[in-house]
Amino acid sequence: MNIVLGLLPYQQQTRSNQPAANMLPFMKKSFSTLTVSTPLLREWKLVTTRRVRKTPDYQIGDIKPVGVPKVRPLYPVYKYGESNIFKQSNRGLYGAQFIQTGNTISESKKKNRRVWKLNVFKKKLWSESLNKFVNVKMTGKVYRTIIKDGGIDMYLTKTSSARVKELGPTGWKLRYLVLKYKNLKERLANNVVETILEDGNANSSGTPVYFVGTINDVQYKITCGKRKLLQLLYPLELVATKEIDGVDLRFNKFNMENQQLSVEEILQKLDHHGFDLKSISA
Amino acid sequence: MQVSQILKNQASQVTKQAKLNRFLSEKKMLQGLPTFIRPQLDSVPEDQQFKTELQWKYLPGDKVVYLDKGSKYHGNFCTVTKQNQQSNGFQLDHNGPMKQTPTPKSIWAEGQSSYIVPTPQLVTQKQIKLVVEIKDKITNELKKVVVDDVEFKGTYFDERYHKRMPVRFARGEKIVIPWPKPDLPEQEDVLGTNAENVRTQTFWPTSLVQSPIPVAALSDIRNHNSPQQFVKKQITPAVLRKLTPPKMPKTDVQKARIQERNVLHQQEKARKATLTNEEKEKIGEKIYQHLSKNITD
Repeated sequence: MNIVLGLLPYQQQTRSNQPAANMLPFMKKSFSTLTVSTPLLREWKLVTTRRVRKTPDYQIGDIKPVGVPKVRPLYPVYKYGESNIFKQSNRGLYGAQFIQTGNTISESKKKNRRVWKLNVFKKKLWSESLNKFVNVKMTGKVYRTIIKDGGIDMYLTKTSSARVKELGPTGWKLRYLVLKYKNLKERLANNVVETILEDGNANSSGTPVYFVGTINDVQYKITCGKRKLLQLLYPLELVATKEIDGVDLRFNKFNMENQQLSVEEILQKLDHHGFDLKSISA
Repeated sequence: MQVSQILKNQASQVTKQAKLNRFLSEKKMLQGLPTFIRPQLDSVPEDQQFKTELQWKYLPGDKVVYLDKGSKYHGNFCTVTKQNQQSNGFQLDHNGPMKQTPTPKSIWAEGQSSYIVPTPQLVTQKQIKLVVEIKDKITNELKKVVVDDVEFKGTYFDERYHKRMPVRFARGEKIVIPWPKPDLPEQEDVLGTNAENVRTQTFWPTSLVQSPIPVAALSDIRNHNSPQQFVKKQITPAVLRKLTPPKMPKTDVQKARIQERNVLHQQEKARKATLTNEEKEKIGEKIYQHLSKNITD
């Protein structure tokens, strides 16, 4: 009986009459008599049993360890680390699937070693929260799951522990980026007091207003955030301190002193220096 | 023999020959110099020059006897004044062999009145023998004894030389011949402190238990801003930032779960904290009943 790989028994029965027509000559022979030794399922054991180095809980004032990185790590630590076998799975969404090995058994019961590779391809998927296409390698199984979940963002941000194991190092990094930008967007949306729509332009999303207040009996609707306001204030303070003390004010120092101030206080300072607040208000 | 070995041997022979040629040419050149510059003894190749005390045997300050049967200075007691590195020779004091050398007027010393000047002659190690003063056991008189040869056994730290020195014996005897007092010049500098001032005691501790430094001043004894000592070895906030990776933000489900748990926790807390007076009375009654029952039984 001919058995086609990856099909269930009832499917094989229906197709058993016509496999030879679709196959190449060299495939005919190898697939003629074949038994699947292991199914292509997720291999949790290969994920959970990885040995990951534990980083100590450092505190200020401890003895400095050897080899401090020059820059801060960009991504959080993946609990399960990287795979030492089938290393290409570290660079894509492989859904905890690994290469399988087994035998092809001929009619004379002779066994020949073979491997089952994964159905890996590159896919460009739109990420809503990142607002761009994400180009990643993935397996067919993962692609199916992404479609079922309703997009790559939904796939990456599912909370279950099985999903975390399935993601791998690359998926973990993408998950971080997606969640980070999602939270950022939410935070910015919460800061918006009101949006001013343009007259006659129905398509525009409108300009967001982050602060409404009165400075010197004039009402302003400020359209930029606190960080931008500090950036505008810095050159004015720089000139002022240069005139008074004759010292160059460093931005770091300036930021440390002023970042705790409220928006109203910063606006008052700007006004005091003669800055035109109408240029940043709607 | 292998080809590589033969080539190696040839190369070493070539280098040896080259060294010898250089040495001979230098020697020839020295012979052409005038007598007041020309070295009195032949110079020795560098690998044969004396370097250690074991090789020199005698150091400046040692008392020796000059032995050269043909010379008029034979049998004179002298002291070693200098060592000559190039020729492995010794220079002796005025009792040693002297040579009349003509000198040009340009290098005359003060008070010199003649072109011919007696200059001390360099002698080899074989030409001198060590003289030791030994007390006679019977008469208790000091005797001058000529030592045929010396040998060395073991080492010790000599404070006068500021290094480890071999112990010098008379060959075949158990007589230790101490090294002479070194004639090291005292190095004094304008910025340096006098040796006397260094050794004078200026601080007397009042108590062995109590520290002389006030507790408040302990933190200021060393420079905390010194990069080598403190700051470099400790984890600063900037370093800690580099060592700690960011944390994974919470998903919507996780946030909702935390919020729900918080609400439940607060409800539980509120329920536990506020007991109404009626509830309190009820509990009190129950306890009273239970206790009174036990008493009556």
